[in-house]
Amino acid sequence: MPSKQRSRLIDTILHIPPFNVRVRSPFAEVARHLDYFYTSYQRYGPDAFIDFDVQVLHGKGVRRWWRPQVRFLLDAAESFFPLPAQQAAPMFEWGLNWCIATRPLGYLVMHAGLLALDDRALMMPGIPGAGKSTLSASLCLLEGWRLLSDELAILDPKSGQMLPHPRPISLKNASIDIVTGFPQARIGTVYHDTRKGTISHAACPPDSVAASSTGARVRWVVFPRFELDSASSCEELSRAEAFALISEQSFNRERMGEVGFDALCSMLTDARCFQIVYGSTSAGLQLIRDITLS
Amino acid sequence: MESGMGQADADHNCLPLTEVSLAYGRSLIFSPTWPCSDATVLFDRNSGDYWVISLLGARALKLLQTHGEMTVQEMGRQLEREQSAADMFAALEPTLRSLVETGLVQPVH
Repeated sequence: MPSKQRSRLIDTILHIPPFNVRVRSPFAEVARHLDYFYTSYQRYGPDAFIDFDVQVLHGKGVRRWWRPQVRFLLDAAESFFPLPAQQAAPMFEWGLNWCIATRPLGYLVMHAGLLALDDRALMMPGIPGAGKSTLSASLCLLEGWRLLSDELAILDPKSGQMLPHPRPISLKNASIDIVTGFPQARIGTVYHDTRKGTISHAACPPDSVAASSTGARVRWVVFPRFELDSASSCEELSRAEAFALISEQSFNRERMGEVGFDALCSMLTDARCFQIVYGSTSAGLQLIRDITLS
Repeated sequence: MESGMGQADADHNCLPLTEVSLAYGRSLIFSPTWPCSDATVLFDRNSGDYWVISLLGARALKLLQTHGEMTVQEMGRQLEREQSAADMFAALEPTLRSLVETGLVQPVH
């Protein structure tokens, strides 16, 4: 990633499937982030419909000069505490996640990695630290899977399709070194001392971005759990158990009511569900291979 | 017994269940009958809550949706006709008690 660049006001409407996001920011770091990770994404003119109107702005008052901060606004409303200014780009990513989780626009949104082989999707719900992002990065960068999202699985209740939402893959702490070692990985700036520890992003593979208008149906639901150096294990779960576990990772199932319930049940009807424990990335990949080839 | 439960509740739980109905205000829908699954998921349109319950519990609730109030004896006979199971009668009362505790079913007095 190029190191320095003069500050310029960004005001652009990005199509980050399936949403249109207007981004405004005076931060050079945000401009560099968009240039590096969102170059191939379609950009629209000022008349385009906007799903999320996002601003990433400087802190107010003396904070602008003394310990500079960054603020995130959706529709001109500020819902977060500011962060240190050097975290402007991560704040854009975190803020956009929040937008999608809180204003889902008729979709059921779940906290899960989502990848596909052809039109068959693998969904990996999990709590932070379960290894979703590392496994997602490994599958798309090493095994040829298409990345739909590393942490927001979006289900369209009308079609039953999972909608691609290709964004940079969020990497934390040890996973940064693991993914940096992958031959096709494009890693961005490393940010230290954030609320999530040391973080960075890996670019979504170009093939996945290019195929972002093509949905997929969930065929496998895998709940991963990473335990360093533990023996591999795999257990098939009933769909009712899987429903309960996914519900814990859903941002808006309650608000989606009966539509969300029916959509989740239909999704599970077509899927087999598993819980895996793995002690290394290669062991996790082998378990996924075993499940999806069986 | 839960710490917040009063004596009246405790006495009530000791009474035999003879007749039951769906709890007032519930509007229930069920997940599909999934193969190789010993449980089903239930959703209440009114509260937005869901429960994972046994297949026997789901069948009992479906009967109550159709018939309104039912005696436990009659429910047992109907369930036995639908699917014979040797220990069904023995399992029915604890299942119904559990549904009463979760607020899905209420005793009729």
